[in-house]
Amino acid sequence: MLTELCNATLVDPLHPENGRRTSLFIGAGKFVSAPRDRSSVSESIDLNGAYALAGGIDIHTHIGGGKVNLARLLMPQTDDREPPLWPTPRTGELYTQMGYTACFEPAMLLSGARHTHLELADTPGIDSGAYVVLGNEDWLLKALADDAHDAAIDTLLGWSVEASQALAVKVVNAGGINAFKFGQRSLAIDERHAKWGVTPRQVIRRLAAAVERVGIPHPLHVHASNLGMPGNVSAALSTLQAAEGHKLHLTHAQFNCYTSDGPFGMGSGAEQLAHYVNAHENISLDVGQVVFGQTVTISADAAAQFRNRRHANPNRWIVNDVECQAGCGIVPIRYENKQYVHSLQWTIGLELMLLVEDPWRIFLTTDHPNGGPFTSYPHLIRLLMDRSYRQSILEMIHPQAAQNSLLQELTREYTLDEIAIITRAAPARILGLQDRGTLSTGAIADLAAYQHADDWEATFKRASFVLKNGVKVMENGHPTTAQAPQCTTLAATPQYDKRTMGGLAETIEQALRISYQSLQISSQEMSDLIRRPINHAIADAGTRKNPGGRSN
Amino acid sequence: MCSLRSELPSNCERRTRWLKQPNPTVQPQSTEDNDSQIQKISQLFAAGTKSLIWIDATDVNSVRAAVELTRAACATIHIGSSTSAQNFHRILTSEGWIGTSLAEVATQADLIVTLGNGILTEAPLLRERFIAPAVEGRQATWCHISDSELPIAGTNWQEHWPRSQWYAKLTQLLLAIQEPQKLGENSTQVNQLAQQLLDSRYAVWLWDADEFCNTVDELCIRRLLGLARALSAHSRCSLLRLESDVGRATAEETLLWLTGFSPTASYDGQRWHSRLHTENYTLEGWQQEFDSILFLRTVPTVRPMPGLAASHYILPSTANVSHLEQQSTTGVATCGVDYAGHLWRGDRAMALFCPPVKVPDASTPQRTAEDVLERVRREVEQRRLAHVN
Repeated sequence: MLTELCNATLVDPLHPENGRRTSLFIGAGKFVSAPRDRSSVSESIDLNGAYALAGGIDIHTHIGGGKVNLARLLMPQTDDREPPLWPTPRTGELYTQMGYTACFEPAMLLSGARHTHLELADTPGIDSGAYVVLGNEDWLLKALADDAHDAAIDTLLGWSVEASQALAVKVVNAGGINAFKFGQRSLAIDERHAKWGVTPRQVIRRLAAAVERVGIPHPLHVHASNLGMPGNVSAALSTLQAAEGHKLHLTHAQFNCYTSDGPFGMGSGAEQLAHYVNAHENISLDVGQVVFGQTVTISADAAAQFRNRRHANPNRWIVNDVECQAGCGIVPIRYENKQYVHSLQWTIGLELMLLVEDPWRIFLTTDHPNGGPFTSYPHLIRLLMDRSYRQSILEMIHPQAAQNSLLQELTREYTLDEIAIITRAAPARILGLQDRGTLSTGAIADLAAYQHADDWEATFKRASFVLKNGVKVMENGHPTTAQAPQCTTLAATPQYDKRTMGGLAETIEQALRISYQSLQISSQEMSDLIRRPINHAIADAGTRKNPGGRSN
Repeated sequence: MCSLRSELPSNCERRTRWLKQPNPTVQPQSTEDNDSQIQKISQLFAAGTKSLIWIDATDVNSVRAAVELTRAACATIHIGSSTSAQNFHRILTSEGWIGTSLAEVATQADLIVTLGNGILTEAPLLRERFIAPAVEGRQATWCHISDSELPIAGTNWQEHWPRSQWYAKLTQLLLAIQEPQKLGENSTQVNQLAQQLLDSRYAVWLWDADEFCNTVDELCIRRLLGLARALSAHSRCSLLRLESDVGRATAEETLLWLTGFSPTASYDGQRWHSRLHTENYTLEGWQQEFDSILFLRTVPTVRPMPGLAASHYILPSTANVSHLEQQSTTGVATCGVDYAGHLWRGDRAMALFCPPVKVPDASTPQRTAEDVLERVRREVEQRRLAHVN
């Protein structure tokens, strides 16, 4: 039996009836074609003209794992104030209210994978997945120093993804976190590691190529070096060049978009970075927008966080090294709209969003919670869609940041279609998730409907209706009491030669002092114990054109 | 974490202690008893009752079930922790932390300092698995500090610090680190260690978490944090607080991500709350505040049970319960022995998958604590619904 959603105003550039008020049909958890015989429709729900979009997909949000739990400890919830980090059930609830149905933890360590998956499993209402962090392990750096064959790197990368049930690979400050243990407080793109002698450029080049060879849909997800430092836009550009034409995704790009000129020795590099991205189709990025207010920064980049400890507000911070793979640094911060650097950061994120032309290659994130909470997405959507509102906020920031910002001249306003792309269709595509991000026939029935309100922020703040796998989880703006559908863990299936695992296994065991098999998470463990079954992502087999004609 | 798994070599001290415990006196329960036990436990959460679930040591899925029961019953859940955990919590939330993990000790540290009388006995495989590879494989230096003069094999040198002087010694050390130019001027016993720390690239301090449990110990830990920060300005120095009670560590991590609070959380029907006033409670304090207490332990441990006088106990069926009334106990399967579960390692860097090591037989308990708690939750919900109707 089918469910009909009638009077839905479709916002889905991939759907042939995009922009029209029409009906959608759902059967067995998926969108299906309109039936010939209406007697097969068992329920009809009137959306009263609400905008119907596919369920939102957050491509980069720190919501599960050891460092997230440490941050909860550092920034405890008080009884009278919501914390910058919520417990997992509340995280799921808030995402559902906003109409999001899939979220991805971008920094999962191989040894911390179980913890990450356990927390994600306890985050209801959203399908989830995680990106395994590579690029600072002793065994990888040694392999690169030895100029190991591609097959060896493929095995190392493929096994890490498979063992940790990851969806993608992330590299954080390539080689730099490891170098921090050898007295190097920063590591430029062509600077050699004090012990291993490899450069971040080498790490990125080889991992970016390996990701493609083993068939992981999502490009290498890169947290560039020198995060937060004045002048680091050159490091970002060098990082993108290091991919040598391979696909590469630059994450929280705003934090790597600073020049060293301008007031107080810091200015916007957004124009430079956007220009490069516009000219190179192999590059995508998520923005990492800053939102004014209290938050806490969480990063595997222990070196950068140690550097940032002086800005801790309140004045307490954590830096950890973890199992020779990466680190973690937790530094609370309060972004002030009258502070020049914070204001500059705010302008840069928006400049990037407005200057990068292709909405299929730029994604709306706050790098939650680093730039701000994910609950600020509706506010950011309004900033992108409403120039007059944007200008009004611009007038409230530090005057020198406002005066020097390109936002004064940029007139672009995002359309609804573009919002649907950057928050739904494009994340699905770049993660290789062909079954979602659209309302088209055959896609899973993840849907969010929004009643138009006074402004775009109010519109997107709370969905009036949400479906997850075709099950109503929100109706009339309130959670339903229906049994929540089983959410899944989306994971990649890398192709690599398992016969070469032997030598690697020994190397890992010597470093970690634990059997490598104990790091491997089986599908059975995921479903029986962790309780979020695996759903293997489907690689994007080819281009998928939108009706507008742009091929992607 | 290793301690109680059967595949370990027999010279493991903790495993030997566990095996030598007196024979259990809790027998597997019949199905009939099962139902009456569920009813009895449910009564602890009757409407109007101020109820507490006391988690002593348990696995992730048992905590998940306990939290769901706490929600259904609008009760309080608390992880019984030593004052050492409270000390650490206070330090972290007021100052932060600089930490590391066991693999870093084995692979990166060039100076390892173990502090205390408990670290080498509470973590008996620490030396073999993590310190020896560093010392023998990479020529790292190992200094052991305790108030005992007994020689420890494998150390490069030992420091004998009477227990009452640890705070003073650490303070001298910190001052020496902060003014290295004066190291040669004052002849103090900490000079050698201070010089080693200043010369090191990556120093790690390790100790047994539970050994540092009073207010002076808290000051000692703060001194260590000061040392780590001072040294990290120019090189690296990290701290590793090793917990031998992995069931408790597991419970704290799980409760924290589920509720936002640890070690105590109360549910009022709409949201979770902390209970800050219970921070310094003694066992009597808990007993006086709550009408009923359900005690939960699901992992094998050599630790004695706290003298809590709980209303009912859910315990591994192999637990020594000779001092408890049989009708106040429910025997359940043991995590990592009878059933698979997740338990955190003592450095909290990893959650380990602990498969059952025992082949199921007639004596294997059929139910887990999770099963029991789930049934109790359903019973509580039904009763509350009936009461409302």
